[in-house]
Amino acid sequence: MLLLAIWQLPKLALDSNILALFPDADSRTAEARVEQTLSKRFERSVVLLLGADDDAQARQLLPVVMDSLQQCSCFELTQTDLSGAALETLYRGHTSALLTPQWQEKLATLTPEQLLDQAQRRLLTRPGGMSAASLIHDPLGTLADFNRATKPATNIRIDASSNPYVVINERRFYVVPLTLSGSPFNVALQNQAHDALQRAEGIWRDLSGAKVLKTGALFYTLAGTEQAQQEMSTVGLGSLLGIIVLLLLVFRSPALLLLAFVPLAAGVLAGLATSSLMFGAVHVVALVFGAALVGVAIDYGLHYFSARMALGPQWLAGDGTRHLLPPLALGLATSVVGYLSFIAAGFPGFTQIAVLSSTGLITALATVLLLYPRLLAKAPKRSVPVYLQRLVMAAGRSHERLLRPVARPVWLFLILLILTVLLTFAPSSDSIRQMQQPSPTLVEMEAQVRNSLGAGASLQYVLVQAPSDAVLLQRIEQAAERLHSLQATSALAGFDALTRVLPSPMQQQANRASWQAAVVDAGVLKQLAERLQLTAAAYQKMLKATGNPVAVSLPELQSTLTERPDLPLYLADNDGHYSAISLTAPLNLEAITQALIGLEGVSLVDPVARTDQLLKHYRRSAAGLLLFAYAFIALFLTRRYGGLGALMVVLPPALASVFALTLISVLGQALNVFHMMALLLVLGIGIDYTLFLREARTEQLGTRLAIGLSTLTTVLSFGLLALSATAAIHSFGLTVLVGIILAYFLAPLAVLAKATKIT
Amino acid sequence: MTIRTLAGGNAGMSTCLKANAKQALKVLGLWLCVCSSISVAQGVFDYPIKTGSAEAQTLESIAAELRQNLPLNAAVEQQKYLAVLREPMISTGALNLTADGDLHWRIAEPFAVSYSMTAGELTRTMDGAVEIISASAEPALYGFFQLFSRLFELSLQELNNYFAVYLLPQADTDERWVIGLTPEDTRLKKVLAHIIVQGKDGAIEQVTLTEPGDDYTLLKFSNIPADKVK
Repeated sequence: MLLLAIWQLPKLALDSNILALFPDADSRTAEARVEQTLSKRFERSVVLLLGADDDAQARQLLPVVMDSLQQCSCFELTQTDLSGAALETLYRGHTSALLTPQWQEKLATLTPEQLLDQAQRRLLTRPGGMSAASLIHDPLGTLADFNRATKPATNIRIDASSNPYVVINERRFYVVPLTLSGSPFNVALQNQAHDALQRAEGIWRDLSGAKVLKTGALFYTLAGTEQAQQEMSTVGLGSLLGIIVLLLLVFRSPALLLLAFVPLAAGVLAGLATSSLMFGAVHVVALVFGAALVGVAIDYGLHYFSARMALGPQWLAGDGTRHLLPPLALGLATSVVGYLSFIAAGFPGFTQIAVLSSTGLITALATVLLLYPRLLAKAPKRSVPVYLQRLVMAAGRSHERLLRPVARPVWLFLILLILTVLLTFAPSSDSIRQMQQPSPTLVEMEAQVRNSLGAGASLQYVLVQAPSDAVLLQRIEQAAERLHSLQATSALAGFDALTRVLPSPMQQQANRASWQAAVVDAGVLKQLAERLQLTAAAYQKMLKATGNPVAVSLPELQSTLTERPDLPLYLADNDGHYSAISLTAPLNLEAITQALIGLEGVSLVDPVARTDQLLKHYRRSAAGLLLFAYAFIALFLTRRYGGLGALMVVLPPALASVFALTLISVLGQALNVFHMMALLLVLGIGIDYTLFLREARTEQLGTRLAIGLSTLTTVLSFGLLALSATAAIHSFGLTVLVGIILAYFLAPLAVLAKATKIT
Repeated sequence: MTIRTLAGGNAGMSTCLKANAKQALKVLGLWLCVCSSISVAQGVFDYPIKTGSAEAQTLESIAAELRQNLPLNAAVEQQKYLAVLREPMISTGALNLTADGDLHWRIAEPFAVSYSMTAGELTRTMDGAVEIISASAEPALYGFFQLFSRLFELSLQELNNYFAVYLLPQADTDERWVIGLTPEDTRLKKVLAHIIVQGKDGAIEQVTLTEPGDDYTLLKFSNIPADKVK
């Protein structure tokens, strides 16, 4: 295991792509690739809007601010070639093939005389005049219009010193676009960027009436990290201190305290190493929940220490370990069996959690069995203090007195069944937006910036796939036609498709034909040449320069497209060609889906709904898997305890779980996937309680002490997460808090029911 | 000036632009009258202005005179000479420059189209419809208006950001001044070889924008209201 960890851990890769959690990840490769590129564009972009009372002062300070920002390696200079010079060079000579939809219509409807008049007016009423090259290559201005359509449609204006700016409430705000050099989730990068932005803002704030608006995923991740760090430092530190104080109070040995964490650390490392070996990259979700489940391993140490201390001077490491082995091994086996059953669900996330937690737990127990008998061979100097002995035993007695009247298996199972059925009707929520609520100030500022920039692309997009670039463009044209008809209604505000940069080869051919008919054959060019007194040679040049018979192809544009993040996305590999049509809100997803029906290779992708769908999948399967795991464990334990005995061992954690969910539901919380995931922890820990009580013969004191300590440490480490402001973490924490307390309280039912049966 | 004489001047002028000014005068005596002003103006590029020099002060006094005459109202004629055209493209209209630097250019002939550059925003009015022209959509046109509003300010400091500035010493008899500009900005160099601005009595009379190659644009301003002339 150690070797495996040394080999695997240095190359541990974490995966945060939500698509990797889907069961049919392979069929979504295209979507994943498009999404990754899109989200990279989106995630890494940071936009600052800087405003001040005095424009002249602002203009002077702007380069200073830019310099200060560019000094940070966390930002890359955003050099978007908004002039579109690269595309213009590619288009040159293809005037007749590259027509905007408006020009396609004009050529079809206007008379030659009208076309001629328009062309002449354009050429003669331009201050500064038209260059010879423009006249020869673009006599009607059609290519200029096509070029214009490839420019980003924003509200950004340029001032006399070439600074881009927008106007908000009649006030000028200079636009500073930046690109992060890495992911906004990278904490080190976040800190660098935060410092650089603070410095830049500091410089700007010297101006009177200085105002800074900002937008970008960075600010959300910064807020998230800040909140997490704050919670870590309060909740995390608080709970760690609580656990340390508790263990020191009971065992009165710092060495034991350190020893308690050794199996846990070994388990997490081994789990990570195995997952890394098996899956290549460990998903963040699996890491979080998997590591939480390995957290159960701290209980192994607690049981060992408690048993040793309970025996005091009579402790013999060999005997003690032998006595502890059955409940520990059973506890481990049930947890591993339970967790491994998740693999059946076929969800990559659950499979990773199962592997990580199982290998982690096995390693942790192996560490306990190999390490502890050697290090703790000597009998402890002190046994359990008398006050603690009395407390534990008295608590145990009153606990049983309370439970005895209700220890009626049939009734309890009936309650379990009824509540389980009722819970299927409890309100549930799978909305990612409800689970992570970003700060309203950030959301408001983002909306303001987006509105002012005029860039309102929504998260939803239309994915187009095709076997060749020509077919891709054709499919985009078909989709665009359908979307265009929607634009007239309220179902769609706007869209941006690749065909505004390049029509399909078929459309280019049609354009050339209509140019030939309406412009060349109808004599428009010839008459224009005559009216302008164009030389004969120049006229011939014009005919040639406007009618290149070879279509412009998408691969020719590819390198330019990658340099222009404002243009629609295009990707190509051996498997196919992909593009995304971005949509502008407000939009009606249902109407768009309806409109796109029947188009091959065209689908509407809604990342938000897909994430919600994923959470729903995971919530439902987690619930199903829990039932399955309980059944599986009960079956597994039947050999040792008989049918009813096995059922009574699994009953307390099961009851605790449904009670916890019922309580949470009654409190008005909609159930989500994180409530369910917490129940996995309740199962893992709760079943240990019942097993130990069931296996405990003479070691009542040690067992009860260990279970009590386990409950307290679990409540301190996981239960306090209920205080978190992040909805997902709060849900998880609250469920563990209520579930574990109930599991502890109900655990003796496993023994009481047995006794009832025996007597 | 009729189109014919202008057309006749075209060939001569391009030769003038290429050749040494003095030689051109000797060879093309016939077009002396047409060429003389341009060839004299060409000489301007022998006299660069250094900051803080006497010439810089002269430029400043010319600029001060120009500013005094604001708001400016003038008739404007644009003649576009292209090598591919046998005759220039001509348009006429009116130009109005306010003291705030807003520029209105109303073309009347051969078609009615007007442009306004107000607080950095360029608009075009055609058939009653107003259209905002952004710098990114029509960089050449937008750039022309930006340059033009700056030209009328004649601020040496501003012009020096983009151009090397020249000023022809004034002859005793002729009160005309000639200012030359050659672009130093690489983007400008692609579209512009040089600019010659000629004027008199606090008013710009003629601006010649020469492109790399043989093509150039001549802008003539006249009819400046009498009360505005010193």
